[in-house]
Amino acid sequence: MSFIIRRLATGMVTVLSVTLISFFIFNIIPGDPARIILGYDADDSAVNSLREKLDLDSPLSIRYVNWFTGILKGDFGESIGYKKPVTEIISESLEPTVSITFLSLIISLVISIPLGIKSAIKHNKNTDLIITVSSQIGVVIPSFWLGILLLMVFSQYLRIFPFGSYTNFGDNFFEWLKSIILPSLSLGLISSSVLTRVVRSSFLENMKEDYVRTAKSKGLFRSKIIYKHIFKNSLIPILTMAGLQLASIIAGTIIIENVFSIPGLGRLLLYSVQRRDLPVVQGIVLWIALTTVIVNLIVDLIHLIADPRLRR
Amino acid sequence: MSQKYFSKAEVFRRTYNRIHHHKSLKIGLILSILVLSITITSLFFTPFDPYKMSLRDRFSSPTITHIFGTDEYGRDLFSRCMIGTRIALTVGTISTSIALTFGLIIGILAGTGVNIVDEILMRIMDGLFAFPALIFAIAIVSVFGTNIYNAMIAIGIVRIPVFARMVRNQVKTINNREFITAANSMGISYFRKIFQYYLPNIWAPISVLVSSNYAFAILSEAGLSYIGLGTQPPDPSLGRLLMESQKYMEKAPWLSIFPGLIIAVIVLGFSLLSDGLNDISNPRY
Repeated sequence: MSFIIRRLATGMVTVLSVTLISFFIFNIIPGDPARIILGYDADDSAVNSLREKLDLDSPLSIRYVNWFTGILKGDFGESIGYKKPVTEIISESLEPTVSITFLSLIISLVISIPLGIKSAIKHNKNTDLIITVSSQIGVVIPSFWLGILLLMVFSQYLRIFPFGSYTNFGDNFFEWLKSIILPSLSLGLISSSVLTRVVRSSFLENMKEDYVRTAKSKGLFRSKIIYKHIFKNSLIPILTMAGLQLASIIAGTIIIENVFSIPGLGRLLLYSVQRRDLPVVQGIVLWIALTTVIVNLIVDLIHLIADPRLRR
Repeated sequence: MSQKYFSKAEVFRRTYNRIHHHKSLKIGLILSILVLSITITSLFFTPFDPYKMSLRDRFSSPTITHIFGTDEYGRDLFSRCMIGTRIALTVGTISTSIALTFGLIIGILAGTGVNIVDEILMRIMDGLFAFPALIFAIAIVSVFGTNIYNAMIAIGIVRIPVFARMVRNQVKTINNREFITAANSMGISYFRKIFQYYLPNIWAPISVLVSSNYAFAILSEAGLSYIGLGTQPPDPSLGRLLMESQKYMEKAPWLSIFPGLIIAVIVLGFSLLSDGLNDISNPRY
């Protein structure tokens, strides 16, 4: 039990430093933040009232404590442009982003696990070469470029999938799937090439282990050795990498939403940066960073439960 | 285990052989040198003026004169891609230098310092590591202004934890080696110890990380410029070229194809280089 508590404690410290970093980025603005937000030609009374609203006259440490206790209560501040709480605005555009993220991760896992295993089993054969080379190509392609190419082929020429529209999951399942399949495919394919390499190397490593030789000499079926013994043992690096991939997929959605004009967090973030709506930007940045920390924490905890060797 | 000693010429010959026999390292090296020479060439020569508009040549598809075609203002895409390559390499160099410098300092301090220093530094690094690079960069440019310099600095800062962790772990393993115990008992000064004993023993993994970081930084900048938060017009960064191309996808598909292809080739070069360096620096190879 103590190892779980220890990991949770370091997780808490990380969360704390994430909030510290996101607080200070937005509070070390050179000059008067209120004036920067409102623009240099704003009149003094508006600047002063915003200063008061953002509590800019208190010392930095007190502002941090106030802001942090607000976060704990789920209060991320108020948007300057929309005049609404940041949490409300974020939750309104969360659905497309979460949908794309999950579909991408599923696509990535569904492609990478069988391909990685196949590649490891056929080590140094042609199949292996083809899979390795194509995953190498996948790693170096920017996901948004793949998005543009997919858009060009499937929306512009073939006109199979819609462009620039998003249907809610609750409204129509098939339309929903159609509206997010291309963005998810562009992120999922890229992320699957990273994962395929991890699955392959993890499998190759395990295939050399003594227990595989023992299993073979016991006369076990090849498929049983591969899917039961090796697969279980190679899961840990795969899981770690999948956790890291989830973080990079979330960041990727921010861009890919702009390729396909999908009204999610990415569009909101870009729009808020352009309008200098810093509370919203801060809210989204913090939300994404915290999600990343929590995902990694969960992955680590699963490790600790799955592999007793890590508990020391 | 007996240790063999080689003359400098022998070491050089062996290194050359290793590179020569490692296919992906060789390709990576060739591509990186190609990128470097395009960058240097672009400083004093491009086939056309990359900023000069010529309405007569609007949307010319790839031809012998304009091998990548032209854009909506009749500017030559190949010349613009050359400048874009230079911007990509500059971003890679500056952000990697930032990450490497601070990563080395923090990693060495954490690795050689007392436990509490190590713990504090590493927890701060964990916090920074939690930010996806792109998100951190967006935060920085939204506060300090949208331009390529802030983008480069942000991409550099966000990679400090990666370098710091690696350096720290390497330093920690070296701490237990006999030559460090010997150096300690001889009373060698801290800085001399760092430069004479630690750094020469960690440069191999650092070089792997440096070249993979180039690939990472170039991809991040492309993404950032694609959403309009990196390089500002009229400078043609590769990501920005893709962003501008999207309006004319049907009319001029070449505008969307070539810049992306070039990003992929540059990144492929650095990523193969890093994989290859990793293989040949591994003693089991």
